[in-house]
Amino acid sequence: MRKIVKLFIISTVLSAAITGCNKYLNEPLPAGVISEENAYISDNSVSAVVTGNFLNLLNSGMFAGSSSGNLPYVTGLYMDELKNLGSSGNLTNIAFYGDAIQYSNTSHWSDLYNKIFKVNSTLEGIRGTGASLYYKNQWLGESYFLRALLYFYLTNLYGDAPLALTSNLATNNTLSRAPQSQIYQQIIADLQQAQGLLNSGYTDAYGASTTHRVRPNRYAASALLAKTYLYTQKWDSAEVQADSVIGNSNYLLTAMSQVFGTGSSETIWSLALPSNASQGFQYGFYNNGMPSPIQSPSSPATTYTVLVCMGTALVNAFEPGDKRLTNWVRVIPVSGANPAITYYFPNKYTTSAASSENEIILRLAEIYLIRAEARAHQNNISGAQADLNAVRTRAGLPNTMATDATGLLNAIAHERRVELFTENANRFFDLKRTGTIDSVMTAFAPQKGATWSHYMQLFPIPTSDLIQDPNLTANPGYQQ
Amino acid sequence: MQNAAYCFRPAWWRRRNFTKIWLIVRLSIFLLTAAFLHVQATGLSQSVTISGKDMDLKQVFAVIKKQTGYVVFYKKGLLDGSRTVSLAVHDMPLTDFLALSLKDQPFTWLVLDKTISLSRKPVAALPVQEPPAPVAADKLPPPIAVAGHILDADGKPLTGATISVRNSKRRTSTSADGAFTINVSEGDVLVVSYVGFVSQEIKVTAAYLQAEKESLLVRLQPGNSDLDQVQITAHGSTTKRLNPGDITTITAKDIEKNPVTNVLEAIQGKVPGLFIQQVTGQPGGAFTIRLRGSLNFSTGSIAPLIVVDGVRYPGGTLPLNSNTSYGTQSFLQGGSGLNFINPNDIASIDVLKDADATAIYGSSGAYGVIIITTKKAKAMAPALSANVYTGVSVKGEMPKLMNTEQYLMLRKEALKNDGATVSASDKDLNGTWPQTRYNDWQKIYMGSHAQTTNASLTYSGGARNTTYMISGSLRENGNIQLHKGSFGDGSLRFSLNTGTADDKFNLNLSGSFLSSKSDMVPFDFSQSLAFEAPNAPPSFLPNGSVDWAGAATDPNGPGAAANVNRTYNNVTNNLFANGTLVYKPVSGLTLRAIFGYNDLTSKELIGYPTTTMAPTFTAAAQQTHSTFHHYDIRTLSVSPYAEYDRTLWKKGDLSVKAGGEIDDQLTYWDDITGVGFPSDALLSNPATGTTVTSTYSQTPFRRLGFYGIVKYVWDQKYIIDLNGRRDGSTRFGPANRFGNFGSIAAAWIFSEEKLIKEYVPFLSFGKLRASTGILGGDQISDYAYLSTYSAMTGTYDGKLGLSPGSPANPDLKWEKNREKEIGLELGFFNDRVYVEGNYYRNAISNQLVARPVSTVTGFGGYVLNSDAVIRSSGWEMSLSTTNIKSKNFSWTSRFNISIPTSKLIKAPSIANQNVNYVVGKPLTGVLLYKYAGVDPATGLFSFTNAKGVTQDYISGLTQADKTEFIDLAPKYYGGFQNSFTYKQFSLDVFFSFTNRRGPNALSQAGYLFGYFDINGTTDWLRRWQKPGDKTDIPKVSTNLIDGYLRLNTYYKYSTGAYTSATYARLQNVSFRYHFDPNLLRKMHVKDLTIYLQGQNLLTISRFGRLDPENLNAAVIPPLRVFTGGINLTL
Repeated sequence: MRKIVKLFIISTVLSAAITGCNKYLNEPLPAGVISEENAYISDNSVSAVVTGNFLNLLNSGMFAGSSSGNLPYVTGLYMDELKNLGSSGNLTNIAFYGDAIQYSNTSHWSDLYNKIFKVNSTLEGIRGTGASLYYKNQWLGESYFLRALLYFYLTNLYGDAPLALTSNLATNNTLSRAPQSQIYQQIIADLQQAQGLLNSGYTDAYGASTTHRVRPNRYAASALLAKTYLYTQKWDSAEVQADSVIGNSNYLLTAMSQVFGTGSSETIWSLALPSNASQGFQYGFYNNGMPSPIQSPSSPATTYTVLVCMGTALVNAFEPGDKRLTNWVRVIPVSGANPAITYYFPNKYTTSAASSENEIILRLAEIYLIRAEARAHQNNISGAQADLNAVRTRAGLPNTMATDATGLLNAIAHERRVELFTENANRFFDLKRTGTIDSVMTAFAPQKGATWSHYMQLFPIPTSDLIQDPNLTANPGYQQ
Repeated sequence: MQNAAYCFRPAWWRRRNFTKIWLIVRLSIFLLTAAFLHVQATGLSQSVTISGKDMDLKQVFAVIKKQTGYVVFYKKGLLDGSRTVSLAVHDMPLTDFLALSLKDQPFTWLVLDKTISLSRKPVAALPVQEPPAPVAADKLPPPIAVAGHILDADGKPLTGATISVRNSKRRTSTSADGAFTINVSEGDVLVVSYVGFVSQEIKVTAAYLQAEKESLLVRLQPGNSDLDQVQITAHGSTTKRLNPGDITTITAKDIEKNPVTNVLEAIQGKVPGLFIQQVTGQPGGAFTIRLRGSLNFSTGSIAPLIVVDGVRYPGGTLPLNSNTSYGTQSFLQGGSGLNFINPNDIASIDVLKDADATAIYGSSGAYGVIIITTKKAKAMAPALSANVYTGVSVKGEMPKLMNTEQYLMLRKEALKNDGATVSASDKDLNGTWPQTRYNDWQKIYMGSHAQTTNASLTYSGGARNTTYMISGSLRENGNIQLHKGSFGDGSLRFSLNTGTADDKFNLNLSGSFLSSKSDMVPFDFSQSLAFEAPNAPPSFLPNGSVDWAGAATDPNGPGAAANVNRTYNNVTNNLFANGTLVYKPVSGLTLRAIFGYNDLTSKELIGYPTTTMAPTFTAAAQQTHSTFHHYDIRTLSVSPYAEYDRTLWKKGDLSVKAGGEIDDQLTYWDDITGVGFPSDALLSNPATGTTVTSTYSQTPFRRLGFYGIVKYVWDQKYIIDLNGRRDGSTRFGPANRFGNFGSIAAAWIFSEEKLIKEYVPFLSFGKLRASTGILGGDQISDYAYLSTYSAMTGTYDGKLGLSPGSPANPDLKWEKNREKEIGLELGFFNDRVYVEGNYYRNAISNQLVARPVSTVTGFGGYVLNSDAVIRSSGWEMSLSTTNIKSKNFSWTSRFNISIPTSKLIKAPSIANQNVNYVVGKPLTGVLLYKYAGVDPATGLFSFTNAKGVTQDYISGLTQADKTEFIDLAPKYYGGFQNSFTYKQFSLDVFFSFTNRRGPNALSQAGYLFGYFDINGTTDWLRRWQKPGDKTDIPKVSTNLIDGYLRLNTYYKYSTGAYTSATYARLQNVSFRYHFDPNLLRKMHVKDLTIYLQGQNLLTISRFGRLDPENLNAAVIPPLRVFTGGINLTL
């Protein structure tokens, strides 16, 4: 009997141990990481997750300071903005400048989807959390805005594309390409959500009001929406959205020299350079090693580290007296060159000091030009002229001579070229959406030793993705 | 001990007055003896102090036990009718005391080690070998009950020992205190057997029955045969004889013959199926350990689990500083956790190989298990023993480089081949450097020898119920390289064992602390040797400091030499604590709980002072560099289990075990790196650098398992063993956290069959065994199943960021290893010849591989279980023979060989494949271009492409032209040991051998010969010189294509780069002299041995002068060690 009692006690203790032990395996995590649920339990942590998504934009990809991924830089070479000065070893520059890119030259597809994954995770986390978040609307609004922005660039680079709206790996691994119109619908829906969720003023990561325009507010959503409507040729909607931005007294066209400064009242939304960035990204590409004079090309290109300069076509596009040429371009004569050579470098960002300039993604001048274009398409000639002239006046130029819609549209296209040069791939996208890219580039490409083909409007999709996802189709024209 | 003296007359005094004088004489003798004994005074005394009147014997025995630890055994009722005694003795020797107190009692006594057994008079010595009185079968008297105890050599009772009557069904086993009762008849033969001990047979004679029937005492001797060697299993022990699984045991006796710092070097080549490779000769360096075909896709092959005294031990490479340019990871090749366990402290190493042996380790058993058991206290007379050896270590096999004359001759030839002339940059030829100067860089950098010393002191003793051991050791291994740093440690260990008198409760505690320090230069100079011309300026001034004068013409030289000024200080501490509680509540049931704790922690300080840079370098201070690296691996294991043994159906022994295991491991490391110090003296504190960065990592790991083991042995002939384990760990998500593993094994000892015994009498042992089971592998990164968020570097507008890492992967499961093994063990002529052969076949599936996914998911890859299947199979054979055994001379041999193969049966269908994986081929190979030799016409490497076209390609070959496959895993390996004893001398000679292929010296060079300031091996003397020359060495050249690209474009990836690295190595020679016991007794010394030992003495290989073991020209090869020592036990 005593044996039985003993055995009973032992077995009871053992079974209790077994049930208690499952818990034993649940935690803890390695130091330095937290579980997904724990990332969404307070405003503090959610704020960090959302901030992380902005930080991510600068760590890699189209807005980052890597010359192989920075979108204005590579599309500037791809189009008629920049000239490749670099050595024969820089394959990315050669591919883009030579209009001969392969999927191996561009990582934007994978990079954008990685960022989309993170934003989708954030949205799911915020929507799914049981915690009451005081600034939930701001976190959601910022995230919807960000997803719209990412898809805006994605579809403009790749056309039709898979529309991943969740973080689910299995689902996303078998997506087929959604038509571009559907992607635009999603962008518009996301931006409308963002408009409803975001504040009209600027707030920081902890919901406090701030003068730093580095997190999107309601007007940033409106500005991007205006741009989206313009791209989708919904002129009236584009005008309405542009109106709301231009009508806000917080946004004013400022003096030429201050446009890209941190305190610029023209900024609608910009990316704050991360604290660990060594210097202004854009400044780095175009002005690194300045201001030492560049030596004659006959001697090896060792005294300067800039790899590109503005192409002659872009330099010549400026009208005489355009203050943008004197304010936003650095002119460097090559010492000892005979005949004389002068290099022009984009100089919108003028400092190498870290954190003194932000990377501006949306600014008022572009909204004026968007509204001008929208109005011109709706035959509001005087309205279009007024908006165009607002930009021209600031540049020290006389009012536009164009008096009809067609003339105005041409004038606006030209104005966009010189106002928005080497900014956010605007030139590339403008040529595409206006349907002029083939004619412009077919004429221009031979000047840089390249040949343009229609298919080049869209970037190539990585072959490995085509293998992994059988529902995915390639962009035609590219070798796989 | 009591010192009080009592003065009263004992009862017998009155009765037997005459004994008084005799007693005085006895006492004087005793005092004299005691004085001598006191010299070796030790723990529990063997003398008794007692005084009392009319004490009953039970009281007396209690005093004996208390004072001496000796236990008195007697059959119940024996003391009835004994007389009371009155005694007054002080420090009387035990035997005398027994004689005194048991005088005139109706029984006799016998002292066997720590046990005193009483039996009824008349006395008879153990009449074990007495022939039985012939008794007619029909007149057999009825059986009568005999009771007794079974003890081990140390006098501890053996629980579960079997006592059977030959040719009858009568059998029983002993209870917790070793007691048994069995019915016997006169003439019966009692067979007493117990795992790990030599079975004893006792013939029951009438006289014997009369004398011993109530207190039969049997003391079993530990088995000397390999078959009776105790083997440590997952949770318990067995013997080779009765083990249905595959375990190889190496004991301290073998380990102590090797003067090594890492025990892996001592067992190299001795365990069939276990391949051990010394990666670097640097003291404290790494080893590669592979059991059979432990393979997976992620790492190629995996090291077995190492368990030390019940705790999972970090026995592989260590989380040393991994900074590629400053860290020590490359210098020690990762190090090895086993460097911090003194081989001298190891009692045995058991290598568990098949499913039966390893299934109980569940998810971590798939790659084999190595159980290391440290020395424990044993019941014995107190003894102090010292073991000291010292010797030298010298450089091992290294490639021979050309001397100045040869170098210059070939340099001139290279210029001539290229049609070039001596230029200003050819300082070796243009007169800048004297052409008669010769620096043997190998000798200068690698040094010649270093001292190695090892000393240990052990004190142990105790009585039956309490034993103890304390030991300390000191080790020092010098670095043979240029700078004389060393790697050494000191350790202290204790082991304490205590139990209650009834043996129901037992407690064992052991602990050890080892502190190691290393101040070697953290740089392997082997990599610099060839990068300097033999007539380059000397790198060192006569006083040993770096001679920077030559830096102007030879930047290579002083730059490499300046590495001696790197500073390094590593302190590694290893703490073990182990507690085992055993409780035997009822007969047959044992409850046991093992608590184990290990903490391996290290602090490294790596410094790059200004002296590592040229004095002319102005930015030197800014570039001074100092890193403090600290790691800590803490493991806690708790494993409680219950074991129940009983005899089932008379001839069967059933053993059932059930238990659990909890492991908690925390791996932690951090770094503080400072750059830019105003003074070299400040490097000791990296936090004072101009810029300081730090990293911190802490990864927990937990595991939980429950298991059951059922073993049934029928009549010592048929054995069946079932293992099951349910196992969970934090490596897997909640849905797949637990896995079930198990095995079944059976063995048939056919030599026990009557038929075999009758007709094949020379077959002394024959066992056929087979096992199969499913094991798991969890060698993936921790927490891979979870989506986690981590803090980002940098801030955004001054605000912090969090970012998700890899995608959550809750579907991750164990890798699955289905193992099958069949083995045959045969012993002939009383096991003088013993052969064992095994064949195993493992199917490895469910492998964790990174599956590529569309980047639309946000990621490029995703780890998941693949459908690929790898098969590893192999043969293992071992043979041990006693060739000669005579009174003065004996010669024994042991040989083993392992022939492993692996094959990729099914490639992963959903993953990007490693280009070297070919279905039907081993996973351990590489695909290569077909090398067609040095073209006799051009003197250049030539290759045959896939179409069969041979030419000296420098471009144009693609992956498809890699038509050849070479397996780099060993084809076979093993060892051959011969042991000789002649009188007091003994000699052990051990060879290890391996057949494999390795990258030859030419392919490892980095450059072909011809460049300025780069030397080559003497192989270059056979180079191609003119059209028509047939040789394996191409022409020399100074140009980029012929001197560099031809080597690095295709040759390195061709069959020509690999040559046979098959070798046999005289791994160990141990020559010992044991002093004559008779002489020692006179000296009051228990044991004295002097010895000479050598490690890695001779290598016979076809691998040129490169070491065929570490196969790496840029890493210091295993050292040769010669030592002499003395082992003394008092």
